Amino acid sequence: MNAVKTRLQGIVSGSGGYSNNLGTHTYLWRTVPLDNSECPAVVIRDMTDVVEENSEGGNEPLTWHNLEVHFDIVAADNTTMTTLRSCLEDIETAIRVDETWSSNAMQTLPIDNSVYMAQEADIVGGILMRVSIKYRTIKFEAN
Amino acid sequence: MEWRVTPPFHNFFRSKQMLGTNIDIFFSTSSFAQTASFWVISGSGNGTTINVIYDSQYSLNVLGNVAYQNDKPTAICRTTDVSGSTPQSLIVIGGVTYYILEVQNEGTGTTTLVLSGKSING
Repeated sequence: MNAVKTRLQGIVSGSGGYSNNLGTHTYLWRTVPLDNSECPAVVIRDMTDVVEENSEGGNEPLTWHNLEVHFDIVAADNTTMTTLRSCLEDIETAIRVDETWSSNAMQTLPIDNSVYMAQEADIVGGILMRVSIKYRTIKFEAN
Repeated sequence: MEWRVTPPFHNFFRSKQMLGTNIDIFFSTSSFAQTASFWVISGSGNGTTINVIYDSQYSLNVLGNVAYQNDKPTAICRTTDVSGSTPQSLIVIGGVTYYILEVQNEGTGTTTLVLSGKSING
């Protein structure tokens, strides 16, 4: 997961085709509420790691994993929805840089996106982007 | 999910003790209230000066798996002062412009305006 966090920390407006400074507000498993000064922000969570039963590999059986990763993007400004979509594009661009995460995975596949909005003093919105990272290891090998 | 603390004035104005009481004393600027400029329709003419009891409570917005620290500003007003107000109305309190999100007529002579610092989304 550190590779994922490091990649997203490289999202700086004006470089690499990125439009937002998400990199300065990229968090791994953050549990504390965000505030306005931290937005836009993204919180990364590796939610589940499902292992396929039918693996191959002879004496050292390989296990195939589907690691489901959630990216929670949060924006709170005068153009919240536009900012959210722009941040989503930035994260998709970051993933496309190398879907194998430096050869640690086979590929990364999109699952779905969900949008949340609320308005009180601020208009705040979130996009939950879910992806699946497929990788393989020797059985019970640390990864 | 939203965590909300009910402002102390809300319960008071909704209580039976309020019935038959002259509410004007609560809207005096020498007690709880402050002056505000109110527009029924945003940008139309000069605002009406009214007295309101302003409050802003902490509010937590949950968006999927993450939470955001927001505020929930409100203004308690005499219902007669803000009759005709809609979610298009505008109020300036303490030099800050607020957009009216909700108009909650309490039925006791007071109306609570739920406010936002941002124009209505959508």
